[in-house]
Amino acid sequence: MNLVIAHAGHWFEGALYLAPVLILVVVLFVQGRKDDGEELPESGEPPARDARV
Amino acid sequence: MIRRARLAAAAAALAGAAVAALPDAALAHGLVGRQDLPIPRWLFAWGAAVVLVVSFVALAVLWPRPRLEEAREKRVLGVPAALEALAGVVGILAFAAVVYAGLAGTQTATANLAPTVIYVIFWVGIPFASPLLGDVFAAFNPWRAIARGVAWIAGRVAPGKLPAPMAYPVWLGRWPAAVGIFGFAWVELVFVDRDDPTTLAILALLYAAVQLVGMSLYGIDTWTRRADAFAVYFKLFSKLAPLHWRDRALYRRPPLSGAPRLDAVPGTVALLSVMIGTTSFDGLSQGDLWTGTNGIAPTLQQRFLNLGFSQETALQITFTIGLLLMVCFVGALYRLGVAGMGSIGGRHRPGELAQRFAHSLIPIALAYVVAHYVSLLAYQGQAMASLASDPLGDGSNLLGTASATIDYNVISATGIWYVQVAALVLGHAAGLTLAHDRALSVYPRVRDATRSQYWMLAVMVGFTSLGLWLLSASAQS
Repeated sequence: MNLVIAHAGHWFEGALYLAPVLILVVVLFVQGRKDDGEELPESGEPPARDARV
Repeated sequence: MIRRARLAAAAAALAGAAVAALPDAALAHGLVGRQDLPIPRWLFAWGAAVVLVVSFVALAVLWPRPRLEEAREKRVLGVPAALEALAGVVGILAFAAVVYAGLAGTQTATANLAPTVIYVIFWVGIPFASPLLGDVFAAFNPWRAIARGVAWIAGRVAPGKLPAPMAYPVWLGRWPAAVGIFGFAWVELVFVDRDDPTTLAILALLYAAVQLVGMSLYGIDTWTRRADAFAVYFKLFSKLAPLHWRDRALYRRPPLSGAPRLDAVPGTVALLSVMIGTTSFDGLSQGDLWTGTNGIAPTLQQRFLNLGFSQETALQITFTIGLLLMVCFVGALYRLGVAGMGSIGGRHRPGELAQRFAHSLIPIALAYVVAHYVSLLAYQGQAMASLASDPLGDGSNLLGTASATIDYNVISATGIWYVQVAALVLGHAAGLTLAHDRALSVYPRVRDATRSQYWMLAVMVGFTSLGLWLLSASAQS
């Protein structure tokens, strides 16, 4: 616990460097989900639920 | 309260011991002078991330077909066999001179030729030269030259045909090279006698002996291509070069186009992770987070001291753990990006993708080397003028340059920082380009290729931020 508190300054500065990575990961994740949503109508395949029937 | 004060005092003492144990060479690649930057350092990481995102978009829009995969080479000139032999002889003589200086010269590291040649000219200088001039080390490789010389003589003296070499195990791939580079990095960053000229000379002789045995068992070219750690290490950097030496001729090709031809045999990803991870640890180990008062190293070292280890051994164990963890962290970050890629298209296993995209790590490894060692080369490299004239440190003046000194104004601390940032951004942009080009040939649809690279973009921005954070931490300390 002492170790963590003693490095609070380091962790804060490290977070400033990590922030663009985290922002990018979130944006890319959202974009990926949007891409997945757009994929279904383009492929022309029926949804998996219908295919099983 | 007293216990806490004692612990703090002990930690401070250990931190001091850890810093005192750092080698001259390591100290030399710290920055000289104060950086005068117009914006905070962390803002450079944000700027670098923006540049990489823009590069990614530009690649997606302007680069719809694989170009580097099919790039062609053009022959520029031939190389006479005599020149090849001469380069080999020069390599052997240089190796002999370094070993002799290490064994017979002064044992003061900065006054002996061996440490500077090994840690600065060989370990840093050749990686700087290889992406520009091609695989220059192959021509001067001393143990390869010795083996070829012995094979040439044996072929003429032996009555019958020489026995064929054994088949090199496929599973072994580049693993010996990965182990060898990790071993060298361990000596450079962990070993307490890392600067001792005699120790370095003995280690150099041992390494050469192992290479000669390996080449005699598996063949000179096969061993050099797969298992000779330094030959493999330098060759990887040369794959980015616009020049390619092969079959006694020089060819030119588009920059980066050699990288897609990397045969990603087993151990290749491990080797690249070792290359990036060990350089990263070098940066980490100079920062306050690692060696400062209450830093990770003194705290860990204290635990090993409590287990009964000596101070030196406890320090070495601590640094070994840090080195291993950093290599594993880099490997895990890459595997994370590859696992994400595997979720696109659904037809490629992560293991297969890890091998097919491994070459995109080469420019990142180079960027880390340039960023972390440019100051070492710029400052300590100048010491070669005096050391070449007085290699043994015995007061001789063979070339008349023994009194030459290091000019620390050759580049300012601020200039070094800009070079480091530029190297990291360019290296990662090159990595993105290689990954994008490969994705276009792996995925049948351009859309899938671009989507698969979302993950590599995140990995590249992660590596860039990590690199800048490490450099910033070591600059501040």
